[in-house]
Amino acid sequence: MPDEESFDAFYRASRLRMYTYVYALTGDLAEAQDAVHEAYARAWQRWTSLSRSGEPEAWVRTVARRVAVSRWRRARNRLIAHRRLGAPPPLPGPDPDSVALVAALAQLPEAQRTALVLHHLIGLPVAEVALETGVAPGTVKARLSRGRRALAALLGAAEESHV
Amino acid sequence: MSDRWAAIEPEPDGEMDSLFERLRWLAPPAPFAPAEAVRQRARQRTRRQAGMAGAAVAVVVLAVGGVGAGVLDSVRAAHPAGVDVAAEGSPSPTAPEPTSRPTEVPPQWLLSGADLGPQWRPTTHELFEDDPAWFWSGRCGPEPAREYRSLVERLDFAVASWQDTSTSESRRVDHVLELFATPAAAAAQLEDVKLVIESCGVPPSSGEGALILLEIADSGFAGDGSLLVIERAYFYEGEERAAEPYQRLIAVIQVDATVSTIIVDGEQDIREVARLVASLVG
Repeated sequence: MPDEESFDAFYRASRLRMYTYVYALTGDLAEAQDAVHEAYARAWQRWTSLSRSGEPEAWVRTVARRVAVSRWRRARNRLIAHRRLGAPPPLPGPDPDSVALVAALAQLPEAQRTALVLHHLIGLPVAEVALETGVAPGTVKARLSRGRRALAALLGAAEESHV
Repeated sequence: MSDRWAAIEPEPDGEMDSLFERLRWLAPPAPFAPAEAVRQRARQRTRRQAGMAGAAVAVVVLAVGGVGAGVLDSVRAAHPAGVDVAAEGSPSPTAPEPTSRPTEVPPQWLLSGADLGPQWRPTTHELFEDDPAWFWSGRCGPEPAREYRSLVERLDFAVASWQDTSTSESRRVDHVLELFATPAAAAAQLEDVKLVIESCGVPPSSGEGALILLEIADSGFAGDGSLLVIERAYFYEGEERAAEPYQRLIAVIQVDATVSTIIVDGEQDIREVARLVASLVG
């Protein structure tokens, strides 16, 4: 029987960080939360070996990202439902700057977005981002550089349009 | 571009970190589910996966009986028509399975950091998707129905991942150990791996994803059931495909009722690691 106590402590300690990570990647509050719950459920299925590995958070983060991104790719179905059933009730949202940041991130290629969020939001060094995304550190640096440039341009354009 | 955001580039990390800071404390739209609810969700997933595996067992039995002829060639090759897959490997059709064979992967069968050297530390990353949880699933080409064999007769699997911390280069060794009900099922799994390798090399229809080429480079280096595979992945950045592939070596070895898949990023001698793994299981 896996250790419930250690899993519960891990879940409580890391879930908010996981949630903001997935939200920054997808821009969808509710989907982010559900993807996080799903990722932790998968973690519990193999908690015995994951907890032994010493780095369960990286595993959950990767799973949550994959769950969220695959759902995001199926978002067209939700758009159809939205047209048929009307918009869901509004959820309490983040502040306008956060919304602008997440909207700008959504316009970046997935690889750049993931690198930026892992590095700047989660705080992973370049080498660990490389490890987690399966590319060379040089590729991560290039993605970060291009991503920052694109993000600055997008955020600047968004601000000018509101002036 | 406005002055406010133009400052991001000269001092990228500091500006960016503060930009992302407010996201760190973003409240979710609803309270997080209690941990017990998450575990309950996991149990439902387990039952659902068991149901899928049960359905796949039914398909296998039909195929072995001849009704599904042509669907599961690799299954038939290892299990002649009329033989109950679950019973094969027993001394007689009614004899029980040997009780000495474990039903869960013993931790000592997995590669440990001590086997590799003092600079190797455990690491975690997802090697494959959960549905189905098989390293070779979806690597290239269409999803063959026969891959569900790995769920049907696989009793358990475990993963050990190790990273060399003495260098900034990415050096990693992963060991996936799959435990089957019988040596015959493990051997058939190895045949399925060969079929996946043969099906690889079909370019994706769009510019997304990676073109993955697999090639068997060697065999028999760690017993009869051993393969050395070179994986060359051409990743896409937008619409451009990388000119040089990202390359890694994969060893697959069958020992008794187990199949070990060893993935090496870096310069580690994969044949040596494979022989070591074979000795751990054997």
